[in-house]
Amino acid sequence: MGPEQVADLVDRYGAALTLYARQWCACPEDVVQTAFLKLVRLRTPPDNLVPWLYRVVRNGAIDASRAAHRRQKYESAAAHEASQWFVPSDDPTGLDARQAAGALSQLPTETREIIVAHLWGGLTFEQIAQTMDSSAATCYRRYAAGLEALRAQLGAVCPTNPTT
Amino acid sequence: MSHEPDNVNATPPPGAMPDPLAEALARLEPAPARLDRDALLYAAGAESRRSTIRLWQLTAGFLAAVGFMAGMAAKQPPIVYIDRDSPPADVSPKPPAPATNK
Repeated sequence: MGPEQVADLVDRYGAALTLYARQWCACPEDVVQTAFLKLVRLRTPPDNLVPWLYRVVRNGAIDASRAAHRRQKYESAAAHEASQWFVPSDDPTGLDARQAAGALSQLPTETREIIVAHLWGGLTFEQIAQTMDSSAATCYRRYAAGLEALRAQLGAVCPTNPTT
Repeated sequence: MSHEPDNVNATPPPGAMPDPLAEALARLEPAPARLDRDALLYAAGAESRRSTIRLWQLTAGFLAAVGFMAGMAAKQPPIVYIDRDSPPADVSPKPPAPATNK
């Protein structure tokens, strides 16, 4: 894979992959960069490129988090930097970015990573399941439960029980 | 009342109505990655050329080894100097030859 293709991938998936890595570690850019370099080293690109990237980023971020724990330098980076997860939205009818990030940071890590991978990474539940070594049904169950928790925190309306 | 979805053992069907909260969340734009794009592409270029560079390194090493072996094979046998005990030169005058009468 040549540098031009890598540049295209960085432009398309860099921000979402960084957000995904941010769920575990305080150095998401380093993890994402390492994942792209690992991709370049491959003789043949993987069949499922985007899920492969997410899997490598996930493993790298978890390793980086463990290393930070060993060095005793962690400071719950995910929650600490939650305010930097999203670009502040100018849409008055939309969600407040800071509030949404704060609600997301309260979710369990397994639930949050599924929501991030699905909503911002565009992965299907089958692809997320491959990334997490889980099943699609389990991923969807956690996703739905996470959305319900977010709905309760953000005060959003449940679509299956519309208010009359 | 449980907030669990009715069917938790299957992913939603393709025609399922999207969740407005999920849509609203998805509209939030992830913060731009602070990736050093130039450094990343430079490193990617170096990585993509690494196999070629390694091939040339191996080729150069092989040729150097072949040259060394050829040089060793073609090397002349070493010159061996042997010290021999030679008798001292006879410096005593020779006796005169007897005269002959013809």
